Amino acid sequence: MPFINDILKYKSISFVGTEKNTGKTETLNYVLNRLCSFSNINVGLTSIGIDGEKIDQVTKTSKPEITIHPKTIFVTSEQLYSQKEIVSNILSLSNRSTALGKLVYAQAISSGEVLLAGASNTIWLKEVIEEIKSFGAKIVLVDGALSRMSFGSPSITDAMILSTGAALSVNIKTLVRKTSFIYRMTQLEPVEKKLALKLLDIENGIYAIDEKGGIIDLEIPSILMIENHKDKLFTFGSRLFVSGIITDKLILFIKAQKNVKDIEIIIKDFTRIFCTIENIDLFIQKGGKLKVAQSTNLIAITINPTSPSGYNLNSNQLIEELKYQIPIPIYNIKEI
Amino acid sequence: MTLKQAMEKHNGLNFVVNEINIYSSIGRKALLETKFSNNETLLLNNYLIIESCQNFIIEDINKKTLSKVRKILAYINDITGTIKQLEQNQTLDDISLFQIKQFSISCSKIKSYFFDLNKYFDINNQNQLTLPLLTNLIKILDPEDLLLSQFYIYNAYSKELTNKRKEWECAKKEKNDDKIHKLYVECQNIEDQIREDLSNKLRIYTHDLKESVRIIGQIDKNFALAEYFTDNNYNKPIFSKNKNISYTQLSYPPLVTKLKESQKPYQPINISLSQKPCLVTGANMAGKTILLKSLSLSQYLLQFGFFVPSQKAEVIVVEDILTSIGDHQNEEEGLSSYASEILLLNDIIKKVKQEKKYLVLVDELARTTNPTEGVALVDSFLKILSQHTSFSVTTTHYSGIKTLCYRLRVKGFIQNKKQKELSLQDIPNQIDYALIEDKENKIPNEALNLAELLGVDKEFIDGARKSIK
Repeated sequence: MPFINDILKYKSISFVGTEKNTGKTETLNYVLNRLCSFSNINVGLTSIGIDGEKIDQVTKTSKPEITIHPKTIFVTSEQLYSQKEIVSNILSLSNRSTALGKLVYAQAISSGEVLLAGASNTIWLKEVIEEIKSFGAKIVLVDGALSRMSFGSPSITDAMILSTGAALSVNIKTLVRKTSFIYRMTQLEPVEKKLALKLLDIENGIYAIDEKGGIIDLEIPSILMIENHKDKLFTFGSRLFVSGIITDKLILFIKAQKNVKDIEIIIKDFTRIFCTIENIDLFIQKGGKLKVAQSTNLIAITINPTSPSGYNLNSNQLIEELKYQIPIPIYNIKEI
Repeated sequence: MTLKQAMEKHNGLNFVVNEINIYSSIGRKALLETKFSNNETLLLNNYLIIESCQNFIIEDINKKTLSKVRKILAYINDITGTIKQLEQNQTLDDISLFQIKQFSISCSKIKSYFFDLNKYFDINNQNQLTLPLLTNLIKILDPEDLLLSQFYIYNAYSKELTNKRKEWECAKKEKNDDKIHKLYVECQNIEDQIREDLSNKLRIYTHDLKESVRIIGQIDKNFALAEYFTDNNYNKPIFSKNKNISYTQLSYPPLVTKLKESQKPYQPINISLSQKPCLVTGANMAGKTILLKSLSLSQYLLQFGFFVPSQKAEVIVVEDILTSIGDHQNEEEGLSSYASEILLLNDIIKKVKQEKKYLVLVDELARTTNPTEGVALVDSFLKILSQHTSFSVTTTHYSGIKTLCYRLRVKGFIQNKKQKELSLQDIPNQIDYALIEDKENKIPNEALNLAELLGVDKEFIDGARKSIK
């Protein structure tokens, strides 16, 4: 029973994939199944945003739904709730709405499949997790996402499990390089707690952090407009907080600065990085610092050696090479 | 006119309404849909409800009750849409049934908290805030007598369903896909039949549910108003017996708040108005525009059934409030300030001539045209007003207005010869905003004094002084 005992230490766990079809849902189902079959723990379930299609729209392969057990508390949207194939008791309804209606909190009475939905931003996600706990769930599993489209950050959960595999690349070298990059990004150093709390509440903009920890709005509305505001960036020192995503454009510009050694970029969490591996590595090699407000506790990686097109990687070799670079447990989702 | 519509026209009203702490979306809707009224009986009754609410929350034990009620209000869902579905003979889905159940349970909790309103409210108003009993309705949605805000198609509704569900579970364990699907469809069919039955049973309660939504709105709205008016020293208006409008210590809340932020005092004013047109003069920056805005805001508030920001208010209800305050320039339609203003005044005159009572508030009439014609226009406007039944306040900088009217002047600059140069922020401290009756028909020439205090170029001011002499 790999990593289940580990999991029981946490109150919330998110599941993310490096790419579609890397086995995130299988991993989630595996954990869920284990938790429900081997313990009397009440489990809660939600997702970030809406992950609703039964069929993956891109590859047309069937996408497993989540199978839940009696007593599990799950969150979905009004529209998806009617599609459930399970008997369940409605516990609560959110005031706020998603694109698919309000969020429905329900408790399973029978077992069966459901489509999950959830909060579309980090603050709301925190509230949803708390509310699920208030209905008696001891551990909350979050079907997460690593995508530019997602405003909800899976990092706020106590622990995270990453799924990767042939869908990301059928070249083992590339796959290992990309996965270990994501792993390294989950290990970025967090900033001091007091500052972090303040930064996590900021929704948009770019800020300077002065020596006393004061947060100064640089009044740069978007990272995309960085070109027109280059002069403003270092007016208040060399510590910057970017509330949204960071892109190659920003990293390239900062990397070219004379004082790159003194520059520290703070982002909310590792999911905000949308730069090439090379650019991030060069920035760090030149002495630049990249820190996060919210650290991520990655506790395991699962791999899916099969690509959506049917290509199979040698899973033993893949695991070996990943283990060489990543010091956390790695499992083949098809074999556990 | 609803409060929401009036808020679009009047910034001050917008400010006040946004300060009121409403807890539910139903309450917010009830507040914004409050209607402008000139029915004294109805308004008086509204004042009484608010006053009773104020008396209720004076006592600490009731304050605690109210905060419990508000915790429920904060989570109550507006089920107006679901009630409509019922009225249209639709069958409700589980979520709608859940919403009705949750709403009804919340209502009965609130009802149980408010069991002794009779100490504070008269019978009639007590009924205004008393929720219908929904016990029988809740029973329909609570066949297992659990009294929980939860819902699903319970096994208790049907033995057949209970059995099918058991079979379905077995089929799942056997992993027999055909059987699973067959039983799933069968369960769905029975559930649908139960939903239809439940919807039919609930239908007879549509009136009670609608009433509950309305009363929840009234409870939230009136206690929020009561609390706000107590905290901010608003008072209940009294309908005037001598047909005069009279305010003691009237203030303009948006400005009070702004001054408070910079720790400056606000000087409330006293004013009485008869049906004789009132002409107000005074230096620049002497608060004439704020006076008009205060009068208009208070009139709106009292005719929406609210209290007014004044220590004492004897008031008259009017048909409507007609104002010409602010810059009228309307570039989109290619009208100059003057043209826009004069067309607006034309509308006002048309209405006033209908012999209904209006409150007319005009700021610096014809100020954007030449003084000779300007004075003539003010004179003529006041003359028309004096022939009709409306209340009016007109402000002006012009002297030589001949029409017989009630003249008020802002006291203006406190005489202080040692005064040095002032910055713009200091000016308000140097002005006495009180209104005094002005029998001399002379306009205070304080524009030059003010300019001097502001440290404006000496040659500029002296030149102007010479011209006057």
